[in-house]
Amino acid sequence: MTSPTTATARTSAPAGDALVRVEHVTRTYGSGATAVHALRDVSFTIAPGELVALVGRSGSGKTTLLNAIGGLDKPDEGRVVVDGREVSALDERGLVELRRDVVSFVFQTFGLVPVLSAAENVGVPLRLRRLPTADREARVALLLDLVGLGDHARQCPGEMSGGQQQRVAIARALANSPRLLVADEPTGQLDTETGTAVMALLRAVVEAEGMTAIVSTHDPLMLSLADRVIRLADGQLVED
Amino acid sequence: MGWTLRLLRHRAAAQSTLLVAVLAVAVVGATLLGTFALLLHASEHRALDAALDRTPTSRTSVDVSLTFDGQDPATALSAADGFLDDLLGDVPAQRDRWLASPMYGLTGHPGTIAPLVYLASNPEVPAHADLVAGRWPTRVTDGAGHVEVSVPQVAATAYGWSVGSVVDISGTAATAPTSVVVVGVHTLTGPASTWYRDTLQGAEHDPAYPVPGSFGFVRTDAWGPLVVAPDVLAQPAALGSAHVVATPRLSDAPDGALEGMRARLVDARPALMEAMGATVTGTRFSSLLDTTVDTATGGLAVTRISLVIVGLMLVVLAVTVLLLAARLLAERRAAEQTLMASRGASAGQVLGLAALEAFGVALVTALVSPWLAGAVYQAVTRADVLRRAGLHDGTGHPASLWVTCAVASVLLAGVLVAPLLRRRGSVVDAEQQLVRQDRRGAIARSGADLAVVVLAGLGVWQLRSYRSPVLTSTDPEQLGRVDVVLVTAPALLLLAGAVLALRLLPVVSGLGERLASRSRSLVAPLAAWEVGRRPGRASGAVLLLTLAVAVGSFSQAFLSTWRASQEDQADLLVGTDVRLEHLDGTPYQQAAAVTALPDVGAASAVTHRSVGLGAGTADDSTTHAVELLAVDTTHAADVLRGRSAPAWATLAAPLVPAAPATGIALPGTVASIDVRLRTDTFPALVGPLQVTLVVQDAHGTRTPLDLPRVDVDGADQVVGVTLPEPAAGLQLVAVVSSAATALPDDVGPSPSASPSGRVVVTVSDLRVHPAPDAGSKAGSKAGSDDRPDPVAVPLTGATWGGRAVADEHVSPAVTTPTATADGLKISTTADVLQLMFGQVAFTAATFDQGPVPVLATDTLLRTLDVEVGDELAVDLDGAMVPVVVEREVPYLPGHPTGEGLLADRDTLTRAAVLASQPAPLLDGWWLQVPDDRAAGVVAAATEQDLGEASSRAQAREVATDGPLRVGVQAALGIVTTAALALAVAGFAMSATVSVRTRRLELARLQALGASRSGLVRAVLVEHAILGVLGLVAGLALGALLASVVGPLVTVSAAGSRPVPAVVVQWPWPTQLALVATLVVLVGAAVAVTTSALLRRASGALLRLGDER
Repeated sequence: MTSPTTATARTSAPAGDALVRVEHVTRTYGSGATAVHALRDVSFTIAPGELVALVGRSGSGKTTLLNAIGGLDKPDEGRVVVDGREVSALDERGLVELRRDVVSFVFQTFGLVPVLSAAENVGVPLRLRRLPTADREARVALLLDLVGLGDHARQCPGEMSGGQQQRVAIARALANSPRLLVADEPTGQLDTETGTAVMALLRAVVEAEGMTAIVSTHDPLMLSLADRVIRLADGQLVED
Repeated sequence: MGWTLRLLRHRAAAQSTLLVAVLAVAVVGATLLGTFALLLHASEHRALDAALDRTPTSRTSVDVSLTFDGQDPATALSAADGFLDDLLGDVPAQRDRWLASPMYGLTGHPGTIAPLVYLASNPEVPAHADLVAGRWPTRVTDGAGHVEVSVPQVAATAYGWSVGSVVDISGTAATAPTSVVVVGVHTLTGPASTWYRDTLQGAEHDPAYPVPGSFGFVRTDAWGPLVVAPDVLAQPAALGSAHVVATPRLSDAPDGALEGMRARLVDARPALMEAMGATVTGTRFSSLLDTTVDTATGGLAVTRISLVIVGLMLVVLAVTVLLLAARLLAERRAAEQTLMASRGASAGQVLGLAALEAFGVALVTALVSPWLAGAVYQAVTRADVLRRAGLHDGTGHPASLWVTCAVASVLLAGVLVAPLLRRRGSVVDAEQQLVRQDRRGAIARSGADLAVVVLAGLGVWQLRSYRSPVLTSTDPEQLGRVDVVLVTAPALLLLAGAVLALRLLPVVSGLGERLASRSRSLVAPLAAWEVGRRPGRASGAVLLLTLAVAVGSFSQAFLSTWRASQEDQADLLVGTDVRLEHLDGTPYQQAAAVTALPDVGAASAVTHRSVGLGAGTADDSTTHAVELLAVDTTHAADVLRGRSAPAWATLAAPLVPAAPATGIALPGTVASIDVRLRTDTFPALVGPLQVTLVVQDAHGTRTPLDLPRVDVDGADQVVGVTLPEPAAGLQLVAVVSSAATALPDDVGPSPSASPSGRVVVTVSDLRVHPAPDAGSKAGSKAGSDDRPDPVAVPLTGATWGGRAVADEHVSPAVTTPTATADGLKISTTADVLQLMFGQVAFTAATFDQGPVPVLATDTLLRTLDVEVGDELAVDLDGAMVPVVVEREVPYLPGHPTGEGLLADRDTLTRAAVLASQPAPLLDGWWLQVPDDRAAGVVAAATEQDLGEASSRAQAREVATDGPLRVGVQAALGIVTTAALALAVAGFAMSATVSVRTRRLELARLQALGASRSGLVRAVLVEHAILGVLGLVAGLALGALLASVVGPLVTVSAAGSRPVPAVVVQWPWPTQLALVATLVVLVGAAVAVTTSALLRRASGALLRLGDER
């Protein structure tokens, strides 16, 4: 059931073909002399199926922007609309539904639950949607095969390499077939070779699953794989 | 040092919540132990004082009894005072003197043997005496040189004395007074026990007092006390006997004084003899003070050991909670410590940092906990039962409290450092340790677990061997000693049970994990995974809850078991609802008074005394002292108390007489009885004959009425007896005769005489004098002119049987009673020599009785090597009454241990009467009274001077709520509450740390679409799983402790094995309430902390980039 707030947000979303619409978003941490302006009047849109690379120096506002798009943080001004939902206006229930059904995340540090096996980690989003056990197991197996870890289903994160863990994280992110994949420096903790493989995998699964992705990265390879590059500097959009 | 303190300060500020939780647990633990110390201290002092204060003075007084034969009283009394001073030391005491003169003869009275009187001075006059006329003596003599005395009213009435009468007396000593002047007339009051030191024990008149020097052969009337001023008896040779009585105020004794006095009591008798020397003729030392002090200190020792046992369990629980806290703290700081190590900090520096922090915790704990303990103690002892026991007031903050809190603080702070002593490797190792147990650690833990189990096994084995945690010893010094193995056994068993339960955790959690994995949702699987795959964290919480529930449930079970056992012991020790002992008056007077008491159901006259028990054959004259209890077994179910299976009514059923005894009904309210006696002997003999009529009242109680002695002379003699108080509903059931016959002085023994002789006593013309007014108990006096006409009572209204008692070594005597219109002719044939030179007693009774069936204790049967069905003989005041063992029992009401017999009193007294022993054999009354009315009945009995009254309800109260016992209950209550508090605190802490350390993980799950409420539910389910495991294991362990340890640590007040045996109680309502309270409190604590933490954490932690 959709909450009134959510319904209002969906109704107020402008019509159009953009999956993500960022409009005049401003985010400031702290106040007074110590205030940090993480984002200043940032606006852009992302069309469905696009793979967008978000680049910029450390502290340029990349993560803040991804948080705002994923509903993990709220802008002080402006608004973010994802799949027709005004993220900044969603209540707790709406945010849960957004994260569960629309947006999924890939973290720099993989974000796997250490006590769960690869298969169990991938199965977590499916359990959140209360998928029947057989369907869940089949989907998990498919995704692990997709990321090339079909033989590592029972291994725990501690028993896997960083690249393998990130591939598990990608499989988990794909589990619920989200419309938007948000990845924050997914190769940040990987060596070049592994990072390249992960990026290639990411590109491949985005295309295969027909989803939209926004990936913050420093990796030149990713820039070459992206459909579009958005560059931030000091919280402002400097290139699109 | 500066950086250390700064680091500590910053870390404390950053982790204030956790640190406060740890500090709170330490303070709570130390406070509870401090409360125990206060309880122990109060028991040692206040409770002991309160118990000694409540002890009747008859059990604390020291009585030095002296007899004189012309010695100087002043020297002797001074020596007695000196002895008591030395004996009591610094124990303050009240000193009283009971002084009595030798017997003086009343001169100028007819008869060959002068009546006797004695002068006396004692502390009970005037408190327990009513002055009827005149005044109390205030000076030694009046102006005419006569000694001033106040005389008993009975003596004044008998001799016509009044105030101003001068009475001449004579004594053997040259200084004896020759005359006294009556200045007052009095009657003694108060219970009989008040006057037991009086020469006539407060009777004021003894019609058959043995004349001094006659060895009991010559008897006369004795009267007294003739109360005099004390100085009269200070004259040389004025004293015949004296009691110097010291009543110590034990609760006012300074420290150590009691112990010194107790040591001196051991040699008190020889010390008295040495102190008195030749100043007196005889000395006697009597006191129950040593037993009283031993009982009190023994009870204190039992309580002390019980407190230590329970306190050790509390220590285990507190240490476990703090260990959990320490481990959670260490987990939380694992990364920080690894980082410090990687930056060059040595293990010593890390440990030093932790030690400094622990010192701070210890310091705060040590400073705060004594005050909190004092407050908790005051709150706990505000309860009525504890306040009455004297535990509430004036305890303060003794040194033992500060020491206990300090030691507890250091111990608990030491526990905080313990996890750091474990080897910790790299960052990766540290992370891995959170998830998996390393093999070396597992082996070490297995070894430690095994050691605890073995130690617990040894302790329980030792405990079972001793059957008590208290070292029982005849040496009072040994009684209170704590045996480490015995008192630690329960705590070790608790710990061993808990660690064994933990061994089952992986199995159970694995099963739960498999079950939960089948769920579609995330909540249950996430909880099950957490429990099953982070065993270290789960085991800590489960261990805590297992211990808390085990301690709580064991405490409640032990409390119920302990109370039930103490009540069982009290029931059996008292044996009935209300006991009355040492009553005055005849049996029928007692019966009337006792049955008239309010709220009394059944009432049974009781014979309750130590008797000699022989084999019942003439060949074996040896006797063995046993306790005899005889009650009205037709009311066994009503009056006998003390747990028994089968019930006492069933056990006593074979003892019940077939039918009640009936006799010759005496019409109306009987004031006196006249009877014509005639005694014929063949051959002709002379001598006195004593005939006793035995009458039975409506309650079945029998009273002997002694007729005046008559001479055996073949002539009719009319004799009469006045009843002490007119009574209705009487029946004549027996006539007991005793003749001491001999040949007349002028007749020598005839060699040709028949080997057997005959005595024929004819009782005829029995007339009953009714009371003038049946409704009035006063004014009936035999011989008065206004009394109604006597009523003749024929003796043919019953079937008479007879039995004779003679020297069995001669030949059996045979008695044959025959009732005709002319009277009851009792003919006894006996050995002629027996008749000529001995004494023969014979009885005619309206009932018959064979050997008396009895229940015998197993101890008695073992000691005498007797079996069920064997016949024995009981010596009842010289009469050998045959008894037959009907059944073996482990104990008797009123006799928890030792050798005893239980008989029906009706049957027993029938047999006694037939053995020519008409004495009432009445030692008291056992009454059926509802518990809530017992105190009222005791008060009424005391008010009516019906002897010494005691009740089972009062005994129960003393046994459970007495000053020396109530500490156990308080301790168990505190431990139960502590278990709840520590479980809640520990679980909340566990949940807090669990969520905090997993906050990033939980935040990522939120990022994946998990709702906060879902995660809270997962954490709740996780703790519910831990909770259920802990509850089940804890209840099982509590039940194990209750069944194994409970009976062993439930002991009597003296520390011995309880009788009846302990029956383990498992109070389901209390246990369910305990579990429900725990579930609610723990659930609420976990829910609140988890929800709050997730709410706070989610906002910041959900943001990408804030991953560390």
